Amino acid sequence: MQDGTRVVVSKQAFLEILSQCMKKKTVIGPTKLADGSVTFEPLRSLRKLTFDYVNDLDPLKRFFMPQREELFAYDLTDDKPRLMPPPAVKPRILFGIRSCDVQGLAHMDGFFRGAFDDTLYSARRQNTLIISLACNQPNESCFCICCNGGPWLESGFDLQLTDLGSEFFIDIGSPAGRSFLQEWAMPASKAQRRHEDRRRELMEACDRQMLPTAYLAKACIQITNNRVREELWEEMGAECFSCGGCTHVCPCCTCFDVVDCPQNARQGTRIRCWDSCQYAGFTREASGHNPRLRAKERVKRRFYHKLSYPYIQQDGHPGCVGCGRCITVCEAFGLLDISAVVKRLRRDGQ
Amino acid sequence: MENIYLPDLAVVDKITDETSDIKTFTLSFASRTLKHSFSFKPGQFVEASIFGAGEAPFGFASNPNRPQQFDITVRAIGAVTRAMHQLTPGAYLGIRGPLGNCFPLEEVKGQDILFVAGGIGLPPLKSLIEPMLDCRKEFGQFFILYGARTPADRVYKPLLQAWSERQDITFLQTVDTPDPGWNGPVGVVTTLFEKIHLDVNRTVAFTCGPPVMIRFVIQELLAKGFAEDRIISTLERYMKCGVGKCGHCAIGHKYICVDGPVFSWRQIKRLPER
Amino acid sequence: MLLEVNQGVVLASAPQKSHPVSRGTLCIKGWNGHQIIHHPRRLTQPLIKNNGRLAPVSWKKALAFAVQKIAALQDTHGRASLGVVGSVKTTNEAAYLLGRLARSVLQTPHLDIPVRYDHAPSLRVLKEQSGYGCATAALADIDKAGAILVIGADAKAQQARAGSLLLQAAKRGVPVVEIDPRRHEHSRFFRLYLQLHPGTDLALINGVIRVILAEGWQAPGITGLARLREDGLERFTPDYVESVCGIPHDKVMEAAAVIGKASSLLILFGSGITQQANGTANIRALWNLALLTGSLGREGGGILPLLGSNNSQGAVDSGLMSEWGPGQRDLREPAARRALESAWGAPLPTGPGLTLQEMLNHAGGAIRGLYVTGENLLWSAPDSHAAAAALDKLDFLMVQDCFLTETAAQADVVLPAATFAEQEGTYTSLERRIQRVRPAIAPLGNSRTDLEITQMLADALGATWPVQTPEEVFMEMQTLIPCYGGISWNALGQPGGLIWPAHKDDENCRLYRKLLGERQGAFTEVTAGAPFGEEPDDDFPFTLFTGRPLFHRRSGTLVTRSFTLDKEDPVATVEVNTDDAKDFKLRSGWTVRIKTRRGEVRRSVVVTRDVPRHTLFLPIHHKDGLTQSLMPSTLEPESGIPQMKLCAAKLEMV
Repeated sequence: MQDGTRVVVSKQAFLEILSQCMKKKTVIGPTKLADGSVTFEPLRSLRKLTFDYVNDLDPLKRFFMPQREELFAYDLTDDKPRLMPPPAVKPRILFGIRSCDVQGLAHMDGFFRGAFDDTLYSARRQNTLIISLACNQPNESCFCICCNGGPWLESGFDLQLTDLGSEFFIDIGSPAGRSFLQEWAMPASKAQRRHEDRRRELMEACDRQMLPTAYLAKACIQITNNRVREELWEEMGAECFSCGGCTHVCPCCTCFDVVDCPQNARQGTRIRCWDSCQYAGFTREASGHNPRLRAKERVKRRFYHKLSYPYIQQDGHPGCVGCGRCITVCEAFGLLDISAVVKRLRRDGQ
Repeated sequence: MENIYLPDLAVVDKITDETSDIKTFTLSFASRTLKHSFSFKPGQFVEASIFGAGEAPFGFASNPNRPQQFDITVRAIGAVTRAMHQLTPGAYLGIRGPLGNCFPLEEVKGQDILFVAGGIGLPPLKSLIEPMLDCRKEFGQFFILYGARTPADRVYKPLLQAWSERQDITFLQTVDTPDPGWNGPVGVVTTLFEKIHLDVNRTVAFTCGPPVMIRFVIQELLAKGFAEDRIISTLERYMKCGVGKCGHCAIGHKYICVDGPVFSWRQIKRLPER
Repeated sequence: MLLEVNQGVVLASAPQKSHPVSRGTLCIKGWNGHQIIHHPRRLTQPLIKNNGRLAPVSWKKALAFAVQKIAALQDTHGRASLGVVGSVKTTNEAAYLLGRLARSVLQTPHLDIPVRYDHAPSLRVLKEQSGYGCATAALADIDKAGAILVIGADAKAQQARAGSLLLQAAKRGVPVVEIDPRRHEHSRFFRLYLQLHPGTDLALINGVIRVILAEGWQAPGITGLARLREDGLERFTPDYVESVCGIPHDKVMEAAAVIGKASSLLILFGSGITQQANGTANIRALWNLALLTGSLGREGGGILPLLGSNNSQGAVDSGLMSEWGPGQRDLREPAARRALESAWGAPLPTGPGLTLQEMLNHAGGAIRGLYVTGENLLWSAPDSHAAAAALDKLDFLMVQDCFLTETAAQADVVLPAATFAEQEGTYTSLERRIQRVRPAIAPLGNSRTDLEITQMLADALGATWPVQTPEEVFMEMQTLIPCYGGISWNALGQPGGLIWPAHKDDENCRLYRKLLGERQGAFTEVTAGAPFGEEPDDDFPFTLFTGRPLFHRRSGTLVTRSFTLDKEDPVATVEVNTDDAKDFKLRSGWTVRIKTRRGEVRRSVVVTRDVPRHTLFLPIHHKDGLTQSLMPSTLEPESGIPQMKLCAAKLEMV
């Protein structure tokens, strides 16, 4: 293989090698379920792999922060409790992940590896090779272009693939990505001018197909300066179903609860599971006092976290990658997903 | 790398009944090295685990200068705390810490000090009062005001007695509802302000207690002319992981478990929610 | 819904974008309900009570013991001394077989389901008028309605999908009239919100009908109006309505205009209007309204009761309501009885069956034993202290459930059932949509699916049933349930299943048009209604009414065992009108005692204008006393529903 950060491989050759990978390593990739929906799962053979998707509704953050995850196990049989760390994570490859989710991972990296390093998250992160696939086509709810979330990225992946037709254009994003190509003797050649041009063409075409549904700037300013009318938050609070769907599917949402699950009087595990700031119980204290009793407070909180300047400054970017999942899952359809709220904030008082 | 969610084991050395529903647990780490090397600062907290029931945050309630052991004072109000109240000396529990930020101590040397505590707000302040009293002469006037619902609801009764006998501090207590044996002041803790003379430009005030009490105390202090950064309190929210990850204790973009729990009034004022 | 499974553990749920109803959404229970599956206290072994304590035994022993106890009971006191309570949450196939077990093997006429507690009047009236005890419209009609009437329901909290479509319609400008003693946060989005005094819905509905007729706003070509006019509709003048309900004239007129002039009217309602002395009369009045406006059988129009559980409709279709066999066939009809007897190869018990509340009321008398499946009666039955006393009087109690609920803890035999994620079968939703559910994992421990348990019990009782898969049971059901005909098991496997009746040329399957043809149904009798069950008096001056706002739970079985959902359990409150609070010198946050003739609870006050004067609103709650312990179990005579929505109460300082 020649040196260089951008290479090209024939699709057929790449998939052939991927198929060999599947026999030796865990490869998680997109597959179709019986009902036609696409989800990411460990794949045993190439036959299960599908390219007929834009994205999975179930967010890919679940491979790094599972909806239910063991923190440790405990055994109280002896006088002195024994604590056992969770089983180690085995190395795996995540293939076909989209740019918005890669950007979501970058966000989660900043969060989980911040003040204290979350070793569980880090272990999963370090043991995963990210081979992303840029989108040639958005779906109707995508707006990654508004959030620096795609359609293709400069960094955050080990390898980034763009489908040129019969070839994959590959951006090598890390030493691990390069090693992968070498280890599997990928027949890659340096990307030529025509490949670069074709890739740019495809990405611009994708870009143009996306409706710029979320001009975030004004919303960020209004929220940061607390210039949103209380009545608007009241209205949104009355619309919200507190289902928690938005936080569950958001690649940038990371809140969790910690619960002890005793199996019997002596043994059990402590787990963490996804929680949502949209649920009333999220901030309820033992005394019963709840600082965010009404949905209005919780909706306000959510958008403060996503779009206010202090958070953007802390995280380096807004808490949104434009994946559009919240548009689908919101029970208050078309009213409270981030693109709708941004639009309402922008238009309020115009 | 260590798992930040995995607690260390500590042993209950002693249990003191403070009131009908509050106990103080004196703990030391099971591991010899940790027992000797562990240290904390006033205002910080630990996450204590009763395996099977869960984990909850408790502020340190003892003098950081005391070696090898530390105290937490616990009211039985939920599943974890009720389980804790069932423990006996020798029992094990899990401890993660020290977590959070701390009260200023060095920075306020040379100043007058005012403590205003309500009910179970006294324990975290105790972790600051005691080391300050260890070097009493580094501070000017020293006031401790303590209010509780009834005389029986006061914590650290023997210590309160010792404080009232000291000549070098002004210690005043009051209760909302007296009992026959009580001959002290009656009323909310803010009523004690008229009994002391404060130089607001030289005094730093520390206050902890129920949210309603803190609100009134801060109002009073501001009315007296205290500067916003001379009023120090602690914020409380439902806390879970203690390390700034789970999101429960976030107010604005601050996490109480990492950026707090100690905040000045100036900082609290700036937060989008309270 | 999709469930994510890893090495036999259900980790998560995810929404299904291809589903025609959910369209990629889930409500809070949808996102978190899966947490109960691996709960440490799942029942995984059968239990038998020995010396006052429940101890694990094998299935063989448990069933033998149960059979022996049942035989002893029925030999001594007769076959009809045993009552059976079915579940509204299990599959159709399990429900159908339970019905068969109860009627043809156990030979008891006393079989009923918790639909009795919320929608017995609704389904009975709908059957009486249309021939079918079910919704006449579908959820999709919310999208197409010309106007919507929501009465006695908090659509958003109760049924997220209906609530979501309702909200969207309102935002689009579709006029919505909401009638409810309690204002909701979302009431602001509706064209009209009428805050009537609890229990006075009948007068308001009849008042609206009277205005529509007087103004000539009824749909063209409606016949049979004379019946309405001569039957005492005149009484319901706007003045009368105002005096009874507390709604001013002009609002009644406005409501009538919106409803009467709508191109198609859709009526959504909940237990707010059924659990009353006028439960049946209220639904009959709604039927009149629907008929008058020409809404039945029209796209975007009709009647859609917001049923309570995932398989309320299915349990009714499968034959578990006291008065109806499979296919909702009236068991008083000789032809219906013969068909069942022939299909099941055994005579049916004679005599009328007791309804759910009646079984509790007769405990220790006509009823000596109960077999309860999938329902925590001690938390869902009204007048909880009496319900607990009733269970105590039984000689034999057998409970089948996934968890050791309060009811199960009282039992002599406990049978461990599998959860929704561990069974195969079908459910039928409130809009008659039959869908297949597939197991994600096998039943945990030694628990079994409800279907299997019924088959094992039948076997232990000596019945010679063939071993059947859920699919085979469904096929058998189809022979007895004509409206489930023409539906293949495979077709039910696609996302969204099928709405019955499934006729190829009517995509929307709007019940009325296809099934009933010319039968338009007649107007029902207009009645003044029964007096309100328990009028306030000097001792008990308030009208207390209950409800289930978001995050509150009905019987709590699912919610208390999901750690996320259980955390939602709010503070136990009572809502007091602002003016009443002033009179009583009450502030929000204070603790008070709420007392009725049946019990008392402590609650934290919330002062609000969202409830009318002289009323108290109590969410169904379990901390600091069960709300249900206050409520009456007096039956509404026609449908057997307890009048558990309202009663007289007093408030005391603590």
